[in-house]
Amino acid sequence: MKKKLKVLHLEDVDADAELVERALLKGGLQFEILVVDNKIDFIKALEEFLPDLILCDHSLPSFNSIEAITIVKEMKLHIPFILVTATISEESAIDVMLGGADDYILKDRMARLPNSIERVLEKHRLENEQKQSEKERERLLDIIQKSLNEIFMFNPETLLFEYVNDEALKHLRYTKEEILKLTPLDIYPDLNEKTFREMLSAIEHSAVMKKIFETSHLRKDKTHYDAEVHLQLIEQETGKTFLAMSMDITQRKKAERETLQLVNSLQSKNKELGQFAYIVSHNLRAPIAKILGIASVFDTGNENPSNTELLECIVQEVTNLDNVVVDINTIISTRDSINDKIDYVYFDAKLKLIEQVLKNQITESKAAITSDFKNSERVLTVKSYLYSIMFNLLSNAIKYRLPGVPLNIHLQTERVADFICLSVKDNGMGIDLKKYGEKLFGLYKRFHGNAIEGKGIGLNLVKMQVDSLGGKVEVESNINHGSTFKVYFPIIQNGDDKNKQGAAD
Amino acid sequence: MTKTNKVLLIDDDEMLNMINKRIMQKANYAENPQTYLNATDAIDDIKETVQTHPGDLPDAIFLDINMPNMDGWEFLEEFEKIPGQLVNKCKVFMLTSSIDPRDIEKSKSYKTVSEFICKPLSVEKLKILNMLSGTGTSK
Repeated sequence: MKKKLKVLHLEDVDADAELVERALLKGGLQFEILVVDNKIDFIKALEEFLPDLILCDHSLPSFNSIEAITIVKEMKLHIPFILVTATISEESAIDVMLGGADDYILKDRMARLPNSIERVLEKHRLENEQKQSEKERERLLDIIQKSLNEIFMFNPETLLFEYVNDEALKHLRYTKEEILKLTPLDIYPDLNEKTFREMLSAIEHSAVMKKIFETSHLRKDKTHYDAEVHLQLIEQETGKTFLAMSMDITQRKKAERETLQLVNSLQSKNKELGQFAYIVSHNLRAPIAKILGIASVFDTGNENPSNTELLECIVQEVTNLDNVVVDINTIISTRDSINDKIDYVYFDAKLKLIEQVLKNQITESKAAITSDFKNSERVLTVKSYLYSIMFNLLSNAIKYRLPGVPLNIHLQTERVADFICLSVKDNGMGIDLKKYGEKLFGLYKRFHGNAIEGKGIGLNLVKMQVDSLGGKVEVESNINHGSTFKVYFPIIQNGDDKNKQGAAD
Repeated sequence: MTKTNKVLLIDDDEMLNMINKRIMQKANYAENPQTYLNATDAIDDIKETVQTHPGDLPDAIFLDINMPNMDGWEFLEEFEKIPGQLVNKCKVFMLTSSIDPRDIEKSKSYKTVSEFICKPLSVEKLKILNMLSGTGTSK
């Protein structure tokens, strides 16, 4: 439903007021009219009635139309104003029109009134719209002007800046007048015009027509600051403009540099730690080995028998100390060797090497070691890891054999989905998985009491190494029926060597 | 066991040489091992023996890795340059406190190296050496 037009009519003659009302009714307008005849009521009506339209007689006893329109303008009201009068001199009419009235109607031509109203209202509507969009435009411009981003616009042809906001001026330390004579080349010290135009052309021909890059801005005083720039080409009816939004990233760059420094210092600390491990391994092990050597040739023949016992205690403690030193070295060198080169490693060759290293234990335990690597003969992995994993699983199998039962250990490989699975199966003591399941791979966890020499480090190492390779370890075990450890090595593609890995195919 | 091995012990640690000498004597592995505090002297002596009394070359050389001037690896480079026939009967045993698998691997790359032994040396280890390699008393 159309809103009723609120009409304020300034008129002292009732008959004339009726005349106007009739004319409005005749014109088919939906309206509500308030008639006032003096200045006080007029002002009150402007404030309270809030008219959409003012119709005004020219001369009233204490008031006239020129005064009325002046009041309206002073109150900053933009209300359509039509002079409706019987008598007016040409001079006065001009005064009123100049004062801001939109039209005037003579009382003997009242039929024109509805038409005039319509025209005047339409004119005001358009004016309001324009004012609104101007306001909007001013607001946006103000936001851009006050934005904390540096905003630049420059001409694609001349490259001259056409607009630069406050923040940019503040950062670059130029005045607006100065910068409008410059081009982006003046603030990009590292860029020549040819390269810059090539970059702009690339942006123009790219699909998104934008580019984000980090650079350095040159201030008026020749100092620099780091900036991230979002440069885009905007096409409008009026032409093309490059818009650059930029942020001072000095702090961010500083933080990045600090992070890098921190990483570097951590890396070197880590290296020092590796070096320390080596020193521990060599310099501590050497005297330990000597003490053990001395003890072994110590002649206790003619002495108090308790000396023999004490010597055994010394040997036992030094042996424990030696184990700790070996552990420290193993742990540190494992964590350090994460960057070890990846290479093809043959299971068979590794097994032979380990059998030699464990020769004493194998001989002593009379272990029968069998293997079947025909399904997957080799794996692309970190060499030292595979060695360590196989070594630990094998030495565990020997360590935790079942007394009185001939020890059999069987190693086998197969391809399982995206993995090569190495299984090590023994017929040893087994592990109570219900009891120890989750703890099995923890550091310094031991599950077989003190009767068996063990450092609780082997399985932890296996797990750590398999994890870092992106693989997994599984275990099946029954007490007194042996254990099967399955280590899954992820299949890594090695460039042109694809699919050669694992001999299954 | 009427005849024991002729052995060279090369280690820059004098006390360790003494200890290992005693252990070898206790194990009846070698009666009087000759000790060297540096690998340079050892390789010079071996080269001279090759020239003068090839029959007196040692049965076994126990070699440390980390030594000043010439280390164990450099010794092996020099040793393997000596014409094959003469040194073939010498078995080299790496005897070191290193427990680095990479050292073990590296020692495998020298054809003259028979075993990699982790310190300390012991009577048991020597017995196993004899058993496995057949050097010494069986001759």
